[in-house]
Amino acid sequence: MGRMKANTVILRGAKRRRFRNLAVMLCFAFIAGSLLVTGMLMAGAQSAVRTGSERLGPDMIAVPMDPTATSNGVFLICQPSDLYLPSSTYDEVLGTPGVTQAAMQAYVGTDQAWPRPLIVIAYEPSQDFTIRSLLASYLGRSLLDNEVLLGDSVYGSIGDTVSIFGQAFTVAGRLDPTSASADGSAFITMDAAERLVNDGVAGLSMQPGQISAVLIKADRSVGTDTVLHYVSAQNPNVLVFPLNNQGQGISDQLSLASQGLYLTVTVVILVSLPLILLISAMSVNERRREIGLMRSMGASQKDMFKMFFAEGIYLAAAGALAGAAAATISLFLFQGTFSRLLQTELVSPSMLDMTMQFLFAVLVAMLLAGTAALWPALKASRMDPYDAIRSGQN
Amino acid sequence: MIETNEVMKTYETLSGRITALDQANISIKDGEFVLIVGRSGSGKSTLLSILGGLTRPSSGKVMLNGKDLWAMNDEDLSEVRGSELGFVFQFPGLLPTLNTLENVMLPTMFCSKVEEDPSERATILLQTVGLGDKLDSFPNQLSGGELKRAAIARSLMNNPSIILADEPTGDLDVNTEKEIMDMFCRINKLGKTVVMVTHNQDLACFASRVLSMERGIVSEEEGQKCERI
Repeated sequence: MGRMKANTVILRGAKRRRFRNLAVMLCFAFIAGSLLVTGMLMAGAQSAVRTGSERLGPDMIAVPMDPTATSNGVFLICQPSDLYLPSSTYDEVLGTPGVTQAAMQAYVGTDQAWPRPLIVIAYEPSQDFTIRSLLASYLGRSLLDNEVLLGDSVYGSIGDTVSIFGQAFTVAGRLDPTSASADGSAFITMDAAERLVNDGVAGLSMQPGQISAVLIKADRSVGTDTVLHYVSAQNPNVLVFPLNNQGQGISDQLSLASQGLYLTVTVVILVSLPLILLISAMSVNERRREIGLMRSMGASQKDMFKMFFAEGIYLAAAGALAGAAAATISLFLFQGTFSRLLQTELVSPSMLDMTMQFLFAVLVAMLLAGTAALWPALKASRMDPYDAIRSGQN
Repeated sequence: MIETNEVMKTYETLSGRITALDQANISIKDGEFVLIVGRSGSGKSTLLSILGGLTRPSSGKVMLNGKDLWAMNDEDLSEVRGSELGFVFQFPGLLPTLNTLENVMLPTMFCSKVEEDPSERATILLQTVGLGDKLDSFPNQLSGGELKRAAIARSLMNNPSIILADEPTGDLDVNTEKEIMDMFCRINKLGKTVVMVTHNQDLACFASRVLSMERGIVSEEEGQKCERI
């Protein structure tokens, strides 16, 4: 055994004032736990909004300028149109400020050979953010040129070979019901559509280099209406229609809820801090004799400061880690309850998000612990050794 | 060697200024066993704490082996306290969460001028004070006399040249008191300077020199040799 270690003394000492130390640890557990729960709930809700928003599809759609365009509509929401735009429109739309994502789609034609006429739509898998989110089961890769995705009411199972305009396509996936024209549609890649056109297949409406619409995702911080205005202004050859504003609404609602929760946590912290300070100060007062004794054994002011500061940090770290761990477990166990309480769908945040939230909660608790431990540590270090010994005897 | 020069200690209270130590001029040579006797409140503990670098005098100088104790910064003063001085108080001051061996090793946490293994040294010291079978015992398992002996062993841990004891037998029965005093005599015979504060005049026979204190004023007394020394 070598020299006595300060850590041994601190950790053994923590066993002494069990209830008091437990109270300090509980305070930090509560702080870290509430921070983590707030952060995770918000991340979960935002994740749900993001996913839901993706499933809701684009915020707006740009279609060829034509008086009948509205009534003809396009694809996922309405009926196919025979009007086309040059494919360069996609780049112009994507370059518009406030546009975060854009995906081109083209009405290829309607295959009358199927029991119910099959609307064939081409899309570019690399740009897609709408079809993918409608898939009944995760594809995990881009659609190939010899593959097709079938709407909910189109006959065909995954792995089947189906004929579209006389060409063989393998069914790679099926879409969830949308109650829109997508239910009766088949989706192929833009390259596959071009191949059909180049092969001179009969009955196609589309021509090479043409697209029917650009589906647009707007930057929520800019606002859908503003982005719609930008796209219309910068692309005079298109008509832009908003599709939904629900995502923005939920986002705003969540932002308010988030502010409310963080405010609650701030209040919790503000209430806890004086309590922690009081407990720490009591601890220093009760240990005056011990402080005096340590000083008589050669402990400097710096030693005493380090010991009391470290003790505060250890207690806080133990409390914060326990609180954060308990909060994480509770979140997983009671996700449904939280979801009902907040009246919003919660999606588990990514592992990275969770880790970041965990670290953030523990870090904030530790920063608070450092602040709270500072005063008692200073008090302990500045105590006159003789006074400490004398007053400790009383 | 410890020397004080016109050392004063005053306290400001609501009822006015109190002089705990009034122009103390004492000189303690290496290897002496000095007893400071006086009634409660005479200022003897204050003097001892000033000699031990525990409380700052209001004025005057304290020279320890030629070094002005109170001219040092906190780090240096702490180093002196840890390596040159050993303290024994009326309360044993063992930490309840550490066993006897660990308590005796405690001073090595802050400084250690002793080269031998701290655990071995602490064990030997505890054996010397008759606690060789209590190494793993915790303070609540020791008697008053055993606690005091453990505190004495702890004061010797860093092999200091001076032992400062403040009423070390204050709360002990007569037999244990003699036992503890014998121990201090043995320590003194090892060449260490012992400065002890007590209100018990009967202990004067154990010391080589007795200083008397009254109302903060120190005066020399004739010592009476005990039969056992």
